[in-house]
Parts: sequence; structure tokens; C-alpha cells
Amino acid sequence: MNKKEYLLLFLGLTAIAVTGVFIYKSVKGLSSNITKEQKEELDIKIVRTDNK
Amino acid sequence: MQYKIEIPTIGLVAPKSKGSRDSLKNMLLRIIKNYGNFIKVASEESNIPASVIASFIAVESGGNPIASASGNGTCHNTIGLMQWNRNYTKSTLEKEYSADRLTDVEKGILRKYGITFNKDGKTRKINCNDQKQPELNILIGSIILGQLISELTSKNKGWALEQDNTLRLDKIISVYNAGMFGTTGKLATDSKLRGVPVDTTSVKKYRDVVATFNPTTKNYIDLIMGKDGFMDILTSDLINERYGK
Repeated sequence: MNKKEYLLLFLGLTAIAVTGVFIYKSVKGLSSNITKEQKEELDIKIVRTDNK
Repeated sequence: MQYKIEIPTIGLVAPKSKGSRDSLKNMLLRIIKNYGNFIKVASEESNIPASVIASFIAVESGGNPIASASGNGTCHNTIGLMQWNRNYTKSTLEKEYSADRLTDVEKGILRKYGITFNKDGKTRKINCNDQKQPELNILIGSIILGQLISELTSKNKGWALEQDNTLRLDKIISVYNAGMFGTTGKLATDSKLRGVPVDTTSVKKYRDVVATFNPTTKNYIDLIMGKDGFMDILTSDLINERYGK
């Protein structure tokens, strides 16, 4: 392979890697990430605005 | 994580067309009398304040366990005290189970109504009769609320959480009422409404936006969070009823 072919191969592999990361992040972002800890540690206080 | 909700929310007033403060208070007293024990257990297991759960029951059904959009007792998708849609509930419960969020008490109540999970974490379909059971309806309603709060306040999707840890209950009400994925649900969570950026910096501003595409949800926000509304009454007049915390 000459220098130009190496460059094209490099660019092609980079494009595939970037696309892969993009797809992974998209899918991960769509999936639910609720956890047991979120439920167990939930602590909601009601603050009266007339007592502030 | 500690969150706060400010009640009554500045700038909001419960619509008088839904009844006087006294009539709303009487409704809440009936709800506490009839379902207080179920609300207490659901609150303890989900860590959602009893006043929030009681307010959702009041605004969604007025405390009528067979309330239905197509007439009392008829099997509309959202029949029951908290008016959740049974078509989505199987997956909600499976999600709660797979995240290991169901407590032993919650599992016990579900089991009482024949709702168990197989080795793959699958359960049976939820039916109209299930929805009419006050204890089950309140438990599942609180699980749905818990999932919404977890999802909408998580680090990467903090849409319903302010920097000072104020939980934007108005947004939770909006998504609970409009749904996550339907047309109104998408509008409720979209950062732009018909191309115009939505200002959500205050409850009043967001609720004014909600009013343009879903007046019912706007009324629910006012009724639950506003002056003379359900949370206001529960956390002042009825504080000694144990549901004002």
C-alpha cells in the first residue's frame, strides 16, 4: 500500500470508530437508567412558602 | 438525594371552578378516611410524600375508585383512583423489578393480587379489575411517580430538577398526566413549542406554556400546587391528619 492508501484506510477506520461511539451513546442515552439507590435515597421535603 | 417542593407555589391559585377550599378539604378528608392506610404504605415504600400521593388521587379521580373517562366503572384504559394507563403498567412493573427497586412489602401487595414475576422478570398483563382495587391502584400509581421522578431528575436528564434541588413537581404532574411518549407528552417535555423555545425557569411560566396545549394539565398543576389547592390544604389545615408531611 502506498501513502495515500494508508491515509484512506486510517480515515475509514476513524469514521467507523466515531460512528460506533455515536450509536453506542445514542442507545445508552435512550435506555432507562433508574436505580434502586435513587428510590431508596429519595427524600422529598415540603417547604411552606408562607413560612420562609 | 434530598429534594424540596415549595407549597403553595408562588403565582398559582387553585381554580375556584373546582370547588372552594372547604369542599376540596372535605374531598381530601374522605380520601384519607377511605384510603389513608394504603397511601401511608405506598408513601413509606416509594419515599414519595403521602401529601403528593393523596393530591394525585384527589386531582385524578376525586377519590372515586371506579372513575373512568368513559363513565363510572367502564373499562377505559385509565380507570381508577390514580388514572394510570393499564397498557403501559406491565412494562413499568417489569422495569421496577429488573432495577431491583421493588421492596418486599411492594412485592407482597402485588402478589396478593396475583402479580408475580417469572425467572426472566416478566409479569402478567394488568387488567381493568386490577385498576379498580384501591390498594393496588395506589401502589402502582406511586411506583409510576417514583420512576418519573428518578428518570426526570437523573444527572443526564435533570429536566425536573433545579440547581437548588427544588423538585419541579409541575413537570412531574405534566408528564404523569400527558404521558411520556404521546403527542401531549412530547409537547410537555419538548424544549420548543411549535418552534418557539419554552421558558421553564419558573413553575408559572412552564404552566402557562402547558395551558396552551393541555388546559386540563394546567388545571392539575394549579389544583395540586397552588394556593387553596390540595398540597396547600394537606400541609396546613390537615397537617395533623399525618398526610401533610
